[in-house]
Amino acid sequence: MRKGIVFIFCLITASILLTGCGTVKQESILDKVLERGVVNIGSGNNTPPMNYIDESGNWTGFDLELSDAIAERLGVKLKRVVVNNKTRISDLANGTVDMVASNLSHTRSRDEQIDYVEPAYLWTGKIAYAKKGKFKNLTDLAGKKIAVDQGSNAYIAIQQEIEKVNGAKPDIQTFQSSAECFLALKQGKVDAFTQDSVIIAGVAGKEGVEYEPIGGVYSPGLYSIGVPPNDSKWRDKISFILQDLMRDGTYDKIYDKWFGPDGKFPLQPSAKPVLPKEAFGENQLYVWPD
Amino acid sequence: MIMGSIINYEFDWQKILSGQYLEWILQGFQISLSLMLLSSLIAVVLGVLLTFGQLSKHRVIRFISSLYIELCRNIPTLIWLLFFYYVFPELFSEPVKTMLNTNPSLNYWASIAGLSISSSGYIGEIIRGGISGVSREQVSAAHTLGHSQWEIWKYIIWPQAIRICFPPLVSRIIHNMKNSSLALALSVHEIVWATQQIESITFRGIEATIIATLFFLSINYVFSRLALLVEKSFLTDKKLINKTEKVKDVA
Repeated sequence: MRKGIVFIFCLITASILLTGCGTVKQESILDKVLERGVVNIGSGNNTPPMNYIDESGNWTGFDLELSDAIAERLGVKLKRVVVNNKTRISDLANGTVDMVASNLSHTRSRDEQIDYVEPAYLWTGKIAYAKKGKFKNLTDLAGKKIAVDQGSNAYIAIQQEIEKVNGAKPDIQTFQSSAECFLALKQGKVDAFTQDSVIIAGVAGKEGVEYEPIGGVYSPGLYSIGVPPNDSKWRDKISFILQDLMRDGTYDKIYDKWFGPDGKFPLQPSAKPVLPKEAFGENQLYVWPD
Repeated sequence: MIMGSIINYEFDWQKILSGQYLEWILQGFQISLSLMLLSSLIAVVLGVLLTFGQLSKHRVIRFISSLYIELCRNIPTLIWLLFFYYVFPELFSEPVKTMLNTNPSLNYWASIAGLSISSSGYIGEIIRGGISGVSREQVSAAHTLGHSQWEIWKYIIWPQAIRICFPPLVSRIIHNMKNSSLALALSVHEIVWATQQIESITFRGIEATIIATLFFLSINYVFSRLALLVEKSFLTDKKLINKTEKVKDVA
């Protein structure tokens, strides 16, 4: 019996070791990255148009092109690491990756674990998506089945949004990718699918004509680059690089290729991080002054 | 370095052992257990049927059984689950299709179907292996002594076959119980789903994973001890000798 207990103890220890834990940062990641000459950037691969595998098998998307540009400015080689919605935070906390560009919304609960680069590089929002004409308002979804990508903060956001208006809790079904969520919606397994509008546009593609957003955008999805916590040297460096890309037009070029009027997935209204028009004029990007 | 990382992780059990998280864990225990037991039971029943199919005199039945076994064994369990959830309802025409698709328990039953079908092929083979392990001479000897087919099965083939196939059968069932975690892909709220959900909200993945690990470890440990107990008390040589003595008496 004692042997059994020792065995179980060993297994638990092993599982702790394998799951990985946060480590103390002595030197900045910036120094480590420059020393290695390689930056490890985590991105997903099943969330078009942010990060996905296209028809010819290339791993592409807005997140990937943005990370290419960042790695180039850092002057180091880029090593891509696949993350998913559930591993992206712990991979950062463990130091498995140096940064994550993977449709990562800035939320408070995530910010307790990791840090974010400024500014958010894409200002999108969550919508609930359903068959045309089936629902009018978000509150109509009370008690209905809603598909959510497991790991997305839509799980909490949609419930809060519906409960706020005193509706009954919706029945949230979690799937392992946005494509599965949309398939479940098409097959009638769920009544609605909620996710950031840009992802829904990417996943639904041409089939989107039969579906529509219910009500408006309900929770801002401020896509930001995540970095490991408590390393302000690294965080500043990436923020500066991102803002440089915005200043010199590299960001606009990538944005237009994906979301511009002639882009692959035109976005209306624009999701560019711009300052309010009334105060700063047209298209003034959110960039810190020197 | 490794020790350092253990010490640096601050375990926060309070957070995940309260409120909604605890609810998810407890619900996860229940659903996992029901997935494990129900799918294993169905798999054993299907496996026994398959064995008879394999041993049938009719060529068509034999063919269907071996085709089924090949499909079970050569397709990953997850694919079976996804098949029953996404594809199976589409095979029917309108009223049935919508009825299946809108059924809130479709994911649970698709998981049961996938798990039991996937295991039944192995179980069928394990039992057949046990039966063919019984020497043909004993069977023909019993025939010569004028025993009926029923007596031969009851006193000669089954007691020995069960003894041969019991340990692999137990391993396969344990395997199936662990496979039950695949149901998370269909949003069945079993224990691994609960841990993933807790991790994605609280990022306290280690605590949640430890709970799930202990759950599987203890359930499977208890099950295998029970199985060993059954094996020792019912399937030992002593009992077998008694059975063979009975055969002598009958003779």
